[in-house]
Amino acid sequence: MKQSFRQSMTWLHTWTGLVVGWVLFFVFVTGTASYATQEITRWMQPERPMQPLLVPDAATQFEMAYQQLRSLPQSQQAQSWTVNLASDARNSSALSASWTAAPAPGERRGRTETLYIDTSSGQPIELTEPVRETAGGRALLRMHYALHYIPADTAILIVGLCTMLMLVAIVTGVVAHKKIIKDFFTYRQQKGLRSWLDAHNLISVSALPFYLMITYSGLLFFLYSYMPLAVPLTYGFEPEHKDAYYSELMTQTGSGRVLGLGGGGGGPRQAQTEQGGRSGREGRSARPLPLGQQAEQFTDLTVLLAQTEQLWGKGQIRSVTITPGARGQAAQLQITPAYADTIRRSRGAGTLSFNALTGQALPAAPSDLAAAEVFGSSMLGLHEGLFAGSWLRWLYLVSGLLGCAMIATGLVLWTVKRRPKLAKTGEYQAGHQLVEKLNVATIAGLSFALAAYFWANRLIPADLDGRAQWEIHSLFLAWGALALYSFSRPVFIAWRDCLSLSAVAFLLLPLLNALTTERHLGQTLGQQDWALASVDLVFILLGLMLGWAAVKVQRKSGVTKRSTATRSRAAVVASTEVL
Amino acid sequence: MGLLLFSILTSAYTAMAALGLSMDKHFEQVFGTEPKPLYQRLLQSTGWLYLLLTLWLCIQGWPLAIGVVVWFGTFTLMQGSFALLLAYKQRLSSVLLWATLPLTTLSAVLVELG
Repeated sequence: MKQSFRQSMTWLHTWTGLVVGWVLFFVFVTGTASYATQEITRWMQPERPMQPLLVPDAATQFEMAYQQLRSLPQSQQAQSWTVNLASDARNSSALSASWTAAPAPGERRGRTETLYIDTSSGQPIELTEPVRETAGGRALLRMHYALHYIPADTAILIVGLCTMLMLVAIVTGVVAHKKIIKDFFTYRQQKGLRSWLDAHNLISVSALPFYLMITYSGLLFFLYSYMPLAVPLTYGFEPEHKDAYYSELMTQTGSGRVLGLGGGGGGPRQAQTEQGGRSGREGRSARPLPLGQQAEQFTDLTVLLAQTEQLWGKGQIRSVTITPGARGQAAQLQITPAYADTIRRSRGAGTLSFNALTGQALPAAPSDLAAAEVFGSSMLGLHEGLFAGSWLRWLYLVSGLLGCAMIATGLVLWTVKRRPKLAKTGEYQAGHQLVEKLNVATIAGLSFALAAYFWANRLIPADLDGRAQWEIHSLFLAWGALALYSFSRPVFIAWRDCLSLSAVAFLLLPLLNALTTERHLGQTLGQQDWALASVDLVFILLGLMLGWAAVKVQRKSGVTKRSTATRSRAAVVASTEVL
Repeated sequence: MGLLLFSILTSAYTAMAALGLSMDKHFEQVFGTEPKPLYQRLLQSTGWLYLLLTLWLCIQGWPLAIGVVVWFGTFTLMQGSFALLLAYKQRLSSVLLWATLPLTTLSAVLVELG
């Protein structure tokens, strides 16, 4: 039988989507949460101070922190000092001074210690309890490309393969969608399969540019892992051949660093000191003086802060970093802006550098980038969305949730479409049942597991050794338990119960938070700490949506005790999560 | 920022609602009759006009590249919102359009002046 082009595309869409749907749902859920990485981590460390109501100007804040750095005995030998100023910008809820020690032998980075400072008194904030260790938002971020419990290399390939198939599913989905323009706003409710299809189409079309961008750019992060032979075949298989490739690449792109290698953090770390002026006569001795002693020679740095704030505007400075002079280079002061003005993934974009001894501005790194570099770093930047302010960050979250819903509705749709026909002919077999059960276990199960992750954060003793790992274990234990449950119950009872449980788990989180910490909604809303309050509020919202889905499932089951009902509930779940 | 954000939201809604209601089936769904050709044209051009106006507003608030990302994201939100209203609250979906149309125009002028 000869099939039309659209029919073959529909077939491809159905099966690629089904095969990778469950993994992708996990990737999308954890990935979406990663747009709030810093906010989640802050929620999971309730010992950290809240946003101050009154925020002094940059120079005053800097002076407060700088005094601490200069006077504390622990910070004198540090390799760098950083002052994070309090402002309305993201992750800038407190004034803090941190110092980073030189890396211990065998370690890549030195230990950083942080001191929070009261913006009204200038004194260190005495934390009633030390800030707890947490897996935080970063663990979710890492899971969305490196999974967990399996070697990262393997996981990256698994996720990569699923992502490639997702790209196939998206493109074929566009072809398969017969009336993409005509049905641009169409949702017909209460029509069974029709409604499911409408919901899936509507959700898929609404954030289509986002899905294409996120899938395509997701593949760029690890392109060398997917095509391991590309470089060796041209440059040779020895490690130094690889280096030759990178140095050639870096001179050609003009970026001074390579994108896309080894993921998250980017590739080989280039020393960021090139731009430093070679003017310093000081520090030419073999052993440079400790930062604390060098600071005695510094010019009045607050003037530089005041100047920069005047140039950029109030609340526009994120942080100030001071690095000691060494090997003929003068000590430096770097001022980083609070908001990005480019979508490119560019570390230190817009940063101003000064000679800390003379206060002279140092020339910025040349930004003469090759087109390929601009394209690559823009795609990676779009994926991570680090440039997004609060409004755009919400939009990213909405788009991500829509992505989760697209996958969920697609998975449910597969079963809704097949069940009645197969049930009638008695061909309803193990394979289909497996899909249904996996749907419950993944969609409702992961929702619950995510809530369990946050419960674990509050319930595991704050001083327990290895508690961060236990938070992650809790997530997977909860998921496993719910998966077992959904495999042992009739599919639609499993939907109802797992959804209700997830809803309750999310709805009670703000309450648990209030019982166990001082950072509950009563406090955070009162202090207008919106970033922290919004985490609790989103929990409530997620709980309500999951609860609504559970109610829908329950109601539908009341109307028809027949199997048809099952799918609709499941579908509702998905659309709930979205909307 | 508040005013700008408000005008972006209303402008995006205006664009989506006007484009949606310019389609025969949605017009009928809301008003019970087919749209007159002139009326349909008007809705269509309003839709495209406000689509561009939204882009212009986004670029006022953010650097060009970021503004375009905001533009896409806002339309994701508003397309979904309008589709939901259309499914559950048909009347409101059009009433809201009559409200957002002048409000957008007013706030966009204020953004330009301010």
